[in-house]
Amino acid sequence: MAITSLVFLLFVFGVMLVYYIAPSKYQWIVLLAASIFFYLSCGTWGIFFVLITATSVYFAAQKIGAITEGQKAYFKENKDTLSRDDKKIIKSKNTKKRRLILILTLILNFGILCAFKYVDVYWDLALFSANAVFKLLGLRTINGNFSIIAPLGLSFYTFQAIGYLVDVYWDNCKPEKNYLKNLLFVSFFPQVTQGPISDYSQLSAELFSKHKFDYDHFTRGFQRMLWGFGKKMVIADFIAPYVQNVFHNYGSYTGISTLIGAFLYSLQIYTDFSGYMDIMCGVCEMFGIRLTENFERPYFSKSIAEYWRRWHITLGAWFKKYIYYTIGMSGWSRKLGQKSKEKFGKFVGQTIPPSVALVVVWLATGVWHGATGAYVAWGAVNGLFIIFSIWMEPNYTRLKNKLHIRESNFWWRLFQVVRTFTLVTFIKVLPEVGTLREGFGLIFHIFRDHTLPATAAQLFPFAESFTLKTFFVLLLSVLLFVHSLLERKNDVRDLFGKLPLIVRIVMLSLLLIVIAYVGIPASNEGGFLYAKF
Amino acid sequence: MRNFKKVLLCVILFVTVTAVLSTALIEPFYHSEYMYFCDAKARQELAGTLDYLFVGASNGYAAFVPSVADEAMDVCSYNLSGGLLTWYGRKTILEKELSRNPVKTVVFEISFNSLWREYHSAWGDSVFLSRLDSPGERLSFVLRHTSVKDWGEMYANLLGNSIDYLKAVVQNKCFGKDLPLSNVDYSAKGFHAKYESLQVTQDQINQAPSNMDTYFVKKNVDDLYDMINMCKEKNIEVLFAVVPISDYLIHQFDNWYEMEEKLRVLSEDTGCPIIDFNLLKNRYSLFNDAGSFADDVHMSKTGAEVFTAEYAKVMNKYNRGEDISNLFYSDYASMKADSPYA
Repeated sequence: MAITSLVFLLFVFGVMLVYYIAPSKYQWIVLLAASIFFYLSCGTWGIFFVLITATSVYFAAQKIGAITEGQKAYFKENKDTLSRDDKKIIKSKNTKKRRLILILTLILNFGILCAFKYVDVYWDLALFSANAVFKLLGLRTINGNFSIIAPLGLSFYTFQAIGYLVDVYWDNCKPEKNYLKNLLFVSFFPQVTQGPISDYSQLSAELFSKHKFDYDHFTRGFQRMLWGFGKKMVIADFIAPYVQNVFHNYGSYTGISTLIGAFLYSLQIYTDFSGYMDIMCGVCEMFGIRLTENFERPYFSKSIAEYWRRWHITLGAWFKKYIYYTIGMSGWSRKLGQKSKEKFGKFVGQTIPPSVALVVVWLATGVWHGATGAYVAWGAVNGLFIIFSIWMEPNYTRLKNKLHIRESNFWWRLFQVVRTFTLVTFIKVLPEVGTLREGFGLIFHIFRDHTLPATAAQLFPFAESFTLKTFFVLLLSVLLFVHSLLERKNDVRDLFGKLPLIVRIVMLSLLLIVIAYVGIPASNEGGFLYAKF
Repeated sequence: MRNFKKVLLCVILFVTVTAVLSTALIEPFYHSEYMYFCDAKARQELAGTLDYLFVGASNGYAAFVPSVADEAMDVCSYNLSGGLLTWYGRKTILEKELSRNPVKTVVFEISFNSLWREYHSAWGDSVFLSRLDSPGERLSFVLRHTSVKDWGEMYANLLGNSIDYLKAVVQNKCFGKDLPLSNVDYSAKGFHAKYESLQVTQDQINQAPSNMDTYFVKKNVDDLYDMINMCKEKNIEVLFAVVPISDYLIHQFDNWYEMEEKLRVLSEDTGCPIIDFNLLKNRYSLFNDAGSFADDVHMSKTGAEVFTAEYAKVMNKYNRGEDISNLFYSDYASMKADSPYA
């Protein structure tokens, strides 16, 4: 079932009808049935792996929770008879048991994830090794590709489920006793394909509480959903073929045209991914459920670090909570910091541990996106920029003071935003062109080719065929920019809500018509970009 | 409850406003008399006079020239074919014309892959809607026949076609045979002239032939049988005609014998004769790929005029009870042996 289809909309409204008719204590069951139906409609065999993840995490959480609660209860009962050493021994034994369960579950689920995501890498390695042996033996080498389609949303629901399990391990939340509620948390249809990756405590409070039908929730949710369709189907899908053409034929474009193509890619990926988020957050809002936001005006960031706090927020938060802090607060990291401080001073001692953690986080983030050299390099480059800016922070501060640059200065902030947007664009482009070599090739081409475009068509891909559809895409892009500017200090949806009802309805109807006119033909070609992760 | 009533009111208002705006944008498409497929008015004017109908998809509308057939066969014909016209679309339009015309003969064009193609209803149906007379008929057709999953695409097609038409009106480009939105002239009676010319490269010619899929789609066959029964109830003669396709395309496939066999069985089962005009013995003197075909499957205007004249000659002989088998090759293998591509 494609998200950008009438069938999906009919599905959502059908489920909503049943949801609000059903007694409120069974509403979550309606969502579970809908989630399973949705997943099955996208391919029956994938549900098997969702069940493996949900079941393994459920039982692991129950066991870990039981050990934790058992220990607490035992200590409470025997607080007068147990010595400190006794408690230490018991804690250590229980920690080993809990850790073993956790590790086994992590191996199972990350094993499934790695098997599906990186099977082509394993195949290439195996083929390479086999062919090396065949060559030695004078036999004919084998050629061929091997790939399998991963279950829908594998990366996203695996991370979400594992996050919940680790929270139970850390005793940040109690394990969910109801298996079906646990299954709903893992498979909830609005977020199973592309996130957001939610915290169990936050999402469970939304999913399992009772929701009454509410006018504001419904209308605001519907508006947001429609806006999301507009971003995805009108902007992202329309410019996608132009971007692909530039990326795969950059040699025949001038440097400036290639740069424009790269900027258009930034627009495409933002509207594609945030469009999906708006659709799903809108759908959930109509159900009275609030999902975690995944974007916060990322292209207005003033640094790469800030950008990653505003782009795909929940993935960044997941890596920060479960990888970065785990490494940063570990014993060996503290020892490293201590030794560095003794040798090199306070600043180095404070900066080395987070730098090491960031290297691991960013390599892992790169691999999460794809196990190719290009994605690993993409992650490494992001990490290096962030680490470099941390190390250079005192020097930047000194330089700004010398040059009397105030942080609040408009032109300084504009420079930071443009600089960050350009850097982020170049980094984004690296894995998208093809190989890492081709990615760097495109970037070098931008700087090396100084030919001025002879015609408008050579400069801007739409110039030659400027149609009514192009006009609508530009109009919506301008509206998106204005929306982003207004979002800084206003709740744009509140502002929209203050307009007269008939004006709002006419505007939404026109948006729907534009989506149909431009978006349906455009979106027939592709799905969502982040669904490939 | 108050919340629900408020939302219900908003939904009704939203649907109404969207419907009004959409109707305002789409209606010009249905009323544009200068688009070839908006032929409801022409058929209305000719109602009561038509006795010979051609029914098919794009192969049909590009191949049969009613004016040539009328003169050569002394009939009053109309070409009901349409681009990507689904079989249930053909049934709808045939039923309508049978009800208001003294039809004596119906010719079903079943060229190439027409019976084994899964028709993607969005485009074919959105064009077909423009051939119906009223909003009621259109709505009824969509609700009865078009898959829900195609509604969005149909709506987009209608909007797109209508906006293109409005742009053409503004630019005063609604007339003339060379423009994409117009070439009609109601005297064409459903015929859609194609002015392009097939260009084939040597590499394309040298491609090794493959097997085409010849599995008849059940729904297509069911609709065909319904139409045949409709005709038989009114004692209307039914014929199957395979119109010529390019020599180039014939050589792309190796398994024409499968299609021949399937069509033979269909002909026997329905009791309707089938005449495959690809197998005309004089096809290589009548047609050549560059001049007679607009692309690999559709005839050009020149090719259609020549073909229809030849069709008329053959049918006149057939109607006189003469044996026409000597005018045709016995099968595709023998035809291909004489081809310039052989």
